[in-house]
Amino acid sequence: MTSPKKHLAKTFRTDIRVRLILVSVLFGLFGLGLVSRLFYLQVYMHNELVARSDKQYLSTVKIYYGRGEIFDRNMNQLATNIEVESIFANPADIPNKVIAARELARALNLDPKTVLSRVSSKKHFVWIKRKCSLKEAETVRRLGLSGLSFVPEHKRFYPKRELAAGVVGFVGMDNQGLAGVEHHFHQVLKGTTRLKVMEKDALGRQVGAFNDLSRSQSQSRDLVLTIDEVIQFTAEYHLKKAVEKYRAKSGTAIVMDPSTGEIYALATVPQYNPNQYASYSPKTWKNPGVSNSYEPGSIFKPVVAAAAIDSGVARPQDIFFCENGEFKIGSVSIGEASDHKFGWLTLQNIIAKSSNIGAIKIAQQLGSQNLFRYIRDFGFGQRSGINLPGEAEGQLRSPDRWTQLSLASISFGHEIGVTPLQMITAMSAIANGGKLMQPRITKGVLKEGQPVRSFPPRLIKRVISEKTSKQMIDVLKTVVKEGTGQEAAVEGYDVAGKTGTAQKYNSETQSYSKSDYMSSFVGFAPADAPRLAVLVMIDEPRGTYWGGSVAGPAFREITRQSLRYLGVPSKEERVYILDRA
Amino acid sequence: MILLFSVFFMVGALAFVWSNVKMIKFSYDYQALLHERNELLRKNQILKVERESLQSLNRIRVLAREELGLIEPANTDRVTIFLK
Repeated sequence: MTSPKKHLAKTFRTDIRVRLILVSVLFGLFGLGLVSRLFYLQVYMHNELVARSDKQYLSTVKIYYGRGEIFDRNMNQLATNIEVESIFANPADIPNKVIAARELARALNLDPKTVLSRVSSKKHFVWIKRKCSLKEAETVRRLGLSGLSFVPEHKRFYPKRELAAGVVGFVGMDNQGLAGVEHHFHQVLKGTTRLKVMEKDALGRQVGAFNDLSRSQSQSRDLVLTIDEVIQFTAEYHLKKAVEKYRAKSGTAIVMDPSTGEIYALATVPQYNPNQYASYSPKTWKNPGVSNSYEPGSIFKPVVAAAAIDSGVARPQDIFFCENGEFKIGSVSIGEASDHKFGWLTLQNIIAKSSNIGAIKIAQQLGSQNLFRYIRDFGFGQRSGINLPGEAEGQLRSPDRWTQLSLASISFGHEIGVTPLQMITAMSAIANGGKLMQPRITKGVLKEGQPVRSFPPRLIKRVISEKTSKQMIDVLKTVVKEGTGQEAAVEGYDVAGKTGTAQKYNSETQSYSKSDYMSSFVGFAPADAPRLAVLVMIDEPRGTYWGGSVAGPAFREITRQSLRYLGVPSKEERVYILDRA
Repeated sequence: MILLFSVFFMVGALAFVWSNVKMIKFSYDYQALLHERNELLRKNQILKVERESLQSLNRIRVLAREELGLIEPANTDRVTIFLK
């Protein structure tokens, strides 16, 4: 029999052991739970929790490097960007839609019904107005309406407004190039967006990342044009004056450096302001200098004369009988402008007096195949490859598709379609010693101010010999001195050129109009060392229509002021040469 | 010995925390300056655009002719000097 003391001790030990086991089991279970939980959090949920944590302390900043700028040849800005704000809304967060729509419409000058339909939309994102002015954004911000948000955006801005708009073009709402070099060089100019991950604190403020986030370090590329702002302005100013004076439908003027093919000015009237392009007719957005082709009329005669002299079938002093003003080809009778009746004329006088019959006689001596070959060589009937959209190739049929009348018609600039750009390029070839240069509108591409691409002058081919070129320059000087182009003469400079007065073809009546003309003048100066080739075309002038009277004065003023600007001294002024030594 | 060790530990810990606090403060300052710089750049860009607009040749021509009464000199009034 055991004593009660011993029994009590045994019971106590058993009790302790049970308790210890119980506590151990509990600890074991707790440990197991802890390990399971850790496994769940650290292994099973690892990716999700890391992502959640990143979301809490990391933020992604979008850095937009704006669209590249466009400059003229002297780095004057023609297109740039300004930072503006766009306003969008989450309609679900707007409590009183009617009041909000009314206030927004008033502040942003929008139609209240349109705004109401936007804020009543079931979508979670609606634009209220894109690219607002700073004043508009500030007014809306002051309204304190809920559900509205602001996002910074870049807006294209053309500080020179209408100047060179036909060349520069414009961009759409999402900065996509729609016309001009903006369209042609969209891939070069388009802005880039970079995403940068940064740490943020509990208040959402960015911390860390001392890298440069400024927008000034542009990643975009800028474009430099061959256009000269001053010459472009001069061309536009005088072209506009001529178009207004003669109440013409439109006008085009091109100024080119004949030795390199660089275009200093490409002016078009009517003009448009690219900052508000939508307010103008889409017709004005076109660039007729490169995209329209016309029957050139008599300004084409120098091409025929140059071909004849170069191929050796005629010399400037050779004489041709001009049939006393009436020449029959088959059943068609061809006469002279102003019913002139010319008898025997030298080739030089045929061009100076712009005799149609004389031009036919020259072309007949040259022959269809030869004439066609020279016309092609001068760049007609094919695109020049200028960096502008919508270039036309003109119309030039091959001789096997010519009629009995074609050779005659083409000799004085009919039955052929040429673009103003082709015409001035051909005239430049006559001026520069016979080399056909590719016309160029772009000078180079810059990245962070440093050139990364350039567009050097490109010789397409030699079209006529230097000797022919010199002879043609003398012929064309006579046009301005004694012939039809006297109103194009520039005081103090020798000018060579040719007038053109082309009757326009009316496709409705299928005949040449008696009232609608294309009046033009194309020439270069100083004649013996040309610095500029200038073409002026006035479409459908009223009152008078002779190329010499309508386009000649505009040519004279553009040439005079441009030569002055380029520092080419006239014969009348004093010139000193100072030796620095 | 333990006391010395504790002091060193505390100093080390404080230096570590201080440098972190300082770095965060600098980054706040940097962000504020960057924001200010961007704002100034934006204003600068607006001013440049305004300058370009004011330099519009059409505007200058009108000012020169109508407000200042300037006229173009005749060819005989001009002198060209070439430097050799």
